[in-house]
Amino acid sequence: VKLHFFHLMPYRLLPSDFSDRYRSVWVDIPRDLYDPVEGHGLYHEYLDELLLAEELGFDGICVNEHHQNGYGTMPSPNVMAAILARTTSRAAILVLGNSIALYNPPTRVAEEMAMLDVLSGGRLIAGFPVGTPQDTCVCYGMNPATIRDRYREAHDLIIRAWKEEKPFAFNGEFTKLRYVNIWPRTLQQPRPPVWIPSGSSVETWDFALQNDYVMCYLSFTGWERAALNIDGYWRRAAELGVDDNPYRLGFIQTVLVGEDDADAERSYGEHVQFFYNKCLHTWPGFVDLPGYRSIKSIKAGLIAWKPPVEALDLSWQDLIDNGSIIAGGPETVRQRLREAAERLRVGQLMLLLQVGSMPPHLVEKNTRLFMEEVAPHVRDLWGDYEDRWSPRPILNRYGTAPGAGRASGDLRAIAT
Amino acid sequence: MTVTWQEDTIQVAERLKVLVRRGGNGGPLVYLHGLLGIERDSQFLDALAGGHEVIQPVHPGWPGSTGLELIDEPVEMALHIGDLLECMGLGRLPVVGWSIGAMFAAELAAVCPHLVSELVLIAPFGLWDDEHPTEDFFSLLPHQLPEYLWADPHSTAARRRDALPADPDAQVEVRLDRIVAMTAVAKFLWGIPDRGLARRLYRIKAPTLVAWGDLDRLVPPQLADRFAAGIRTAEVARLAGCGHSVLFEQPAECAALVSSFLARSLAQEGATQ
Repeated sequence: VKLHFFHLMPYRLLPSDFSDRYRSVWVDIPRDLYDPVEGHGLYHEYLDELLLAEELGFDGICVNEHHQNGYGTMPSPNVMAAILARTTSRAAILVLGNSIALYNPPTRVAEEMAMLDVLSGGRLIAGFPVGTPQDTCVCYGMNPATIRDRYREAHDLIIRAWKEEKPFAFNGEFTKLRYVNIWPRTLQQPRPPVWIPSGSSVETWDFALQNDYVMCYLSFTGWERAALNIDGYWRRAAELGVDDNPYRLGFIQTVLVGEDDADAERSYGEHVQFFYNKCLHTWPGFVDLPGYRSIKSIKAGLIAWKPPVEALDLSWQDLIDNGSIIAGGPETVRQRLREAAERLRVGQLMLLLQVGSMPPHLVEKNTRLFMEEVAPHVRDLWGDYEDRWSPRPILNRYGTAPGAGRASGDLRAIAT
Repeated sequence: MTVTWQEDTIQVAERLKVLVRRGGNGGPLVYLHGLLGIERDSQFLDALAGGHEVIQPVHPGWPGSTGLELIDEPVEMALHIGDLLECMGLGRLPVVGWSIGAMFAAELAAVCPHLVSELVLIAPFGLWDDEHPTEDFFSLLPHQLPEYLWADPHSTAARRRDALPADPDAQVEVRLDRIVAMTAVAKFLWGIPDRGLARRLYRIKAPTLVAWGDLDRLVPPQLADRFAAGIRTAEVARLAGCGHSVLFEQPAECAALVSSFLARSLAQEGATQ
């Protein structure tokens, strides 16, 4: 199994009574809660954590995109990815992703990702989410009725822009360009691997499966709740005649490793509860927008409708019991993580190890314990399968390729 | 007098099938419906039908009609309504619209001035004022909506209109219809509900009545003056104590207001000929 270090870059200094005083951590969160002097420190702290993750041997390091959001302060993941491309040398850089429907023209995404791929020596993984309703339709004003059409068109344009040898004209419904001609070309050819962050949309599963992309199930509520949905994904793969290689599935899981079970709770409890009870506090009116979901899935939802579970004041044990977090001493975490990865058949595990208000010394502790005490006991999983969706190790004159010593190879041979 | 209403489907183009409800006695009049679609229980329309044949087409994309994918902008909706009238063999006639339907009516009168003899805009969307922003009703939760739609959300009229059927299956259907309708609404009103109507108002030549509930919390009544300033032939009527659902809050008064406006306009037209 591949292990990727996922960072949200939260504003971890939100007031503890945030959810009582404000209606949403997202979209209309009060601006004056952000102190840019603190923010300066936080960005550097988080970049250090991503660098440490590479140093400790994670296969990939992940950045992601949120707008007007208190628990994700990366409106432009490409800015962070550019820094990582320059300051790391081995790990894959997962940009999960750019919400491609938002950028006009979408060739801007093709250009910036090509820059990242070249700069990083071919370590980019290109994430193309449709994007959350909050980010795309509310913050960026996209029409929910047409966002999926825009997404598909932007995808087609970007993939073609990476592939075509010559300038071409693109006459889309939303984007019309007389000359599409992306400079630079990507280093990975014909293109970087594409991963699709998503939830439970059947349409998105089909899209990922039919295009041979990795589908990344992104939710913070843990593997047990996701299991039924993910069973549906694998069933759908079988129906479409696609193999069941676990590496075509990504999953994010919050993990907290202590010296033992009690130490885990003592160390991380308050920070994790802060995240789940306070940070995920969003105004529901920004979520279920007309047109964002297909009538088919709404109908299924209405018929099976149950009142939402009040997710307030969840205790450490509640979060363990409902699967939101895998937490405890190394042995507990090893067992649970392995169980989760096997149950979901997931080959690309994305670990959320900085959570909520967790300060840097605890992030380091969690990350080190994870890599030293847990990772060696889960890495062998799915060893019989080939991961066809990660960057190949490309030699990098500014870094070291795995097991190859200082760069000495011919880039041209790899890039063509 | 009870009105007999009938509903037919009219094929305007291959992918454009429009449900039309019509009834009443007198010269034809078009009514363009509001956010949630066709009106089958409207005392306002029943009253108008006493003096007119009221023709109520369902906009493409709302439950009953197809073809929303062919229409991206309010101007294209106006072109479609023009096509529909032609299909039905209707010429110049009064057009009455409410809410989003009033926005379409204004677009129709601007784009196809020859088709509209009189124009009635009741609480129309379509203009934007930074000082008086239209409510972002898409982000309201279901239980919050009534206080924005009604001056008095507890009134009999409000309860009657907002009520869901008791049968669970029928309830699912009604809720789905509302979601379908709101999806279509989003296409034209998402974000800032301004698609350039202000630039086209000068093209409206028909005598125009702009009517507004003075307690409208959805679309600010202050916008009435902007419509009046943009349409040379407009007069404004304010309905005291009414919200956005003015046609249901004061159906008889609204019908009387519209009828007398139409009669006056007709008399003036006669006098100038």
